[in-house]
Amino acid sequence: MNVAIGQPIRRVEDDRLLRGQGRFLEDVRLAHEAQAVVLRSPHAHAHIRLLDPSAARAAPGVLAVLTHADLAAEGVKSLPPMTRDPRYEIKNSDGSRMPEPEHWPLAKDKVRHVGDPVAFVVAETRAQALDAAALIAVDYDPLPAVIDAASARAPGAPVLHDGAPGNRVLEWSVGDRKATDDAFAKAHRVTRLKLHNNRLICAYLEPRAAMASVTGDAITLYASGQGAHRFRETLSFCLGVAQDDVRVVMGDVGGGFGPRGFFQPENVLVALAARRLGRPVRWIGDRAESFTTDVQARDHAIECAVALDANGRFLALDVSSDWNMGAYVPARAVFAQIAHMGPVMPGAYRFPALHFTLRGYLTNMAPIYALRGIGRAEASHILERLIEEAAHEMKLDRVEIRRRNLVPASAMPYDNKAGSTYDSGEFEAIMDKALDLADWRGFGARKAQSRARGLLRGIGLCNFVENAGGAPSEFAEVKADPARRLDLYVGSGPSGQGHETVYAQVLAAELGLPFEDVRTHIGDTAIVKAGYGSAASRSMRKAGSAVVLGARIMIEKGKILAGDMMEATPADIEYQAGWFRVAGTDKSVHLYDVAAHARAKGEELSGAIDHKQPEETFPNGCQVAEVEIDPETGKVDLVRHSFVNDVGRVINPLLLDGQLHGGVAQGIGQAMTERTVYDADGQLLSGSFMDYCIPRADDMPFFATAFHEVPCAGNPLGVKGAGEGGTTGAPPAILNAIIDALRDFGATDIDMPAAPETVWRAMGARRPG
Amino acid sequence: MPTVAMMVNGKKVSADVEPRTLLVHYLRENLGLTGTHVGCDTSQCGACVVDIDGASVKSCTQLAVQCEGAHVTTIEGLAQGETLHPMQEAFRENHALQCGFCTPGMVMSAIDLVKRNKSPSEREIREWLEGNLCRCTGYHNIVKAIAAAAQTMRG
Repeated sequence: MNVAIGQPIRRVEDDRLLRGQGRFLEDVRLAHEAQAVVLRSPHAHAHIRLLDPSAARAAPGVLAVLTHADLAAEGVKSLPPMTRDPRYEIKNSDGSRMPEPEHWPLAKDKVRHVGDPVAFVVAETRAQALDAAALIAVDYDPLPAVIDAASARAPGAPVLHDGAPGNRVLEWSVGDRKATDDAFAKAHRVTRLKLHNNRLICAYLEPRAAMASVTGDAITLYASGQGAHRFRETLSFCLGVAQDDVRVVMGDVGGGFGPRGFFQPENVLVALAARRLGRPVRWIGDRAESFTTDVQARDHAIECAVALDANGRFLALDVSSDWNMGAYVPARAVFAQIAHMGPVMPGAYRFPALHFTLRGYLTNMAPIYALRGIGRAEASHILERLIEEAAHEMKLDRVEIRRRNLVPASAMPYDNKAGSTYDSGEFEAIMDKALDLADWRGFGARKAQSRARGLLRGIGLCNFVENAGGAPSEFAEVKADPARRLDLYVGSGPSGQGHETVYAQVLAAELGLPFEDVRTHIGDTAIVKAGYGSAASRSMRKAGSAVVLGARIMIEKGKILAGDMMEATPADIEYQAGWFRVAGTDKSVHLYDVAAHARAKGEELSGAIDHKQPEETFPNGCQVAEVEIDPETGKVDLVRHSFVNDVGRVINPLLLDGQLHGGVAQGIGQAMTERTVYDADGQLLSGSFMDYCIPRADDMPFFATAFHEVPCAGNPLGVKGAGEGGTTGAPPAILNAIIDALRDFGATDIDMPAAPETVWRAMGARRPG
Repeated sequence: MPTVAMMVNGKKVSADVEPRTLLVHYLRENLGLTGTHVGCDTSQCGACVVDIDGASVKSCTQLAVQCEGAHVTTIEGLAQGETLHPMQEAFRENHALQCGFCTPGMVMSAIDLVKRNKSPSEREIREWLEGNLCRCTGYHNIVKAIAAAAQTMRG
């Protein structure tokens, strides 16, 4: 099958996944496996006075019980916080370095959140390991817990880490303080809001797991993550072994969304135990462990204000956030938050002045990490809620106030004064397209119909710009095999996005060869030479670009070999659709014959590149949500959701739509159903799918999506990134729709998630009954 | 240990199992049928749905010994050689799966729906999926796929 960019190719992954032949981590079986469980802290904050594993070590079937003392004896290092990595160094606004709290795979002297790992028990069977874990004597001396930024910084608050006085990790800012203050001083109107961007639990469907085997010095880690090579780097760091001695294998991954990129402590523990026992060790976490110990997301207490002139033009934006970071600082978490929140704070709008401060505090909750839309989801929440309220206060039309302030396409490239230069974007055209798609004009009639049925109806919109970034380099290698096959090796691995399909599509389109010729190899450091992984909507931009460039390198090499075969100079040879041809003649050789020629000479027809492309891109879009609310119960029905997106050039519209739908659904979860609740003692109350509500099929309608392609000049494919726009734009569009429906009740804000009780209470004294 | 015998994907199987063994663990560990997944511990996610005697059941809520003499079909038992079941084919055609972890349970559950209701409406499909969680797709293409498969299966 010949394929092109822009074609809705069906996925090559699907056949195995639909037949139950996927290879998720729990499906991998090794000979002579031992089974492990983790003993976890029941306390949010406590000193460990005594830890005695002797009874467990003597229990039937037990092979090893590891505690922090064993880690220390083997010289294991703490999981690396990002400030130890000069590539991700971030300094506080006063120039100081951030504290570097240690994060041990097993707790050292102290536990800091419910679920903190205390001991690792390995036995012949899982049941034996569980029984033995119950025999470990731990004497905890509980300490008071802090569960939000305000209590973390209060005088006399218990301190989580000695190196972080006042529990503060960072204070970072961007923008011009004086210009912002001056603009506010002369403003016609100032609109202020206090918002909470709610803490989220990622809840990918495949629970965490890890497995390792050791032969001599060689360690193989079977992991579930978003990039094999990153995990290899971290494991070799923690164990103090050479990267060459570590192989990381990732098969099918049951959802990633960011948190799966975190190198979990259990990866170190299975490797250490396997090394000690000389046999494979498997740890399969359960869902309850996922809830308490997966890295979580968001959790910002925000104060924000917009200054406007008499015509509703924005003069300045002032934002500060107290970020509840949980008990540790996972590598790159702060980098991702800072890189993706400040630089897109002004979104699609012109702000002559702005200032943003982010303060991060440690608390006795699971640590925070990047989740789909990190930073951008918070920024769009702030911006679009402020604009909505400013329009209401100034009695301006909600679309008109946005139109007056959007950055025009003619201003591109545009410096947004927050650290980003947008290369392209047609924000107003996209908003108009979205309003048409949503039939904004027909809303009045639909509202009247709802009213006739005793229901409230509201509509809301959100314009957003996100910055797709991520680590600068990604690796791809293309090899032509004389057996008429292309082997493609790519460093960035999938967790459901369909990389095997789209990488093959890009390569087949670039070379003009059949799609079926391509075998894509991902997720094994022994097979793929280098790589980083999926994050920040980077895979098509960086890995896709590397695929194209790797193919071009191979073709240039092929021209030399073909010239050899046809007695022509490489400069005279053209390549098209599988054939090298001497220009202006009928002399040609096929790429696979050139590959055979190379092979005969002891060479390889291949092209590899570790492609460095540090520039960010700026995917953008507009979402329109429409809700119907039952005033008796406060239940919100999302009845329409429309989304126009500029992701740059569209590679595969079928898979792209899937990314948009899934992103919007996670945004619906944040806006309407997902609430992470810790009690005052730091116990997680929303610790199962019964208590933490990820959206169900009947929580949402079919989505209306459309593309508005403005190709990006910064990469060979012209792509901007597609993974996170849905999650970025959905929550404020939904909140604005709910508030629109509740205006008659005097509502001016609503907390996320807008669960029925919250909505019902927001109707206040004027609600029915 | 009691012995349990049942038909799984048309084959007679029997084994000595601990009485507490869940059907899902029997399928995965004893029979190596790893297409049936465990995504939670509270019977909410539906990744473990299989067919027992013609009805979709969460195999994490069933003991293996309860299935004595039963006919069990798992995701591995649907395709006829190269040819996918119409529900599997509709999921493929409509891009109704991303990571694929929830997919086996989704497919098994959807087949039961269409068996009971040959022309389910969008609302009926969405409500039927109450016990099947997906974190990747937003359900959009799953609902489309089930409607399309229902049409194919009606003939």
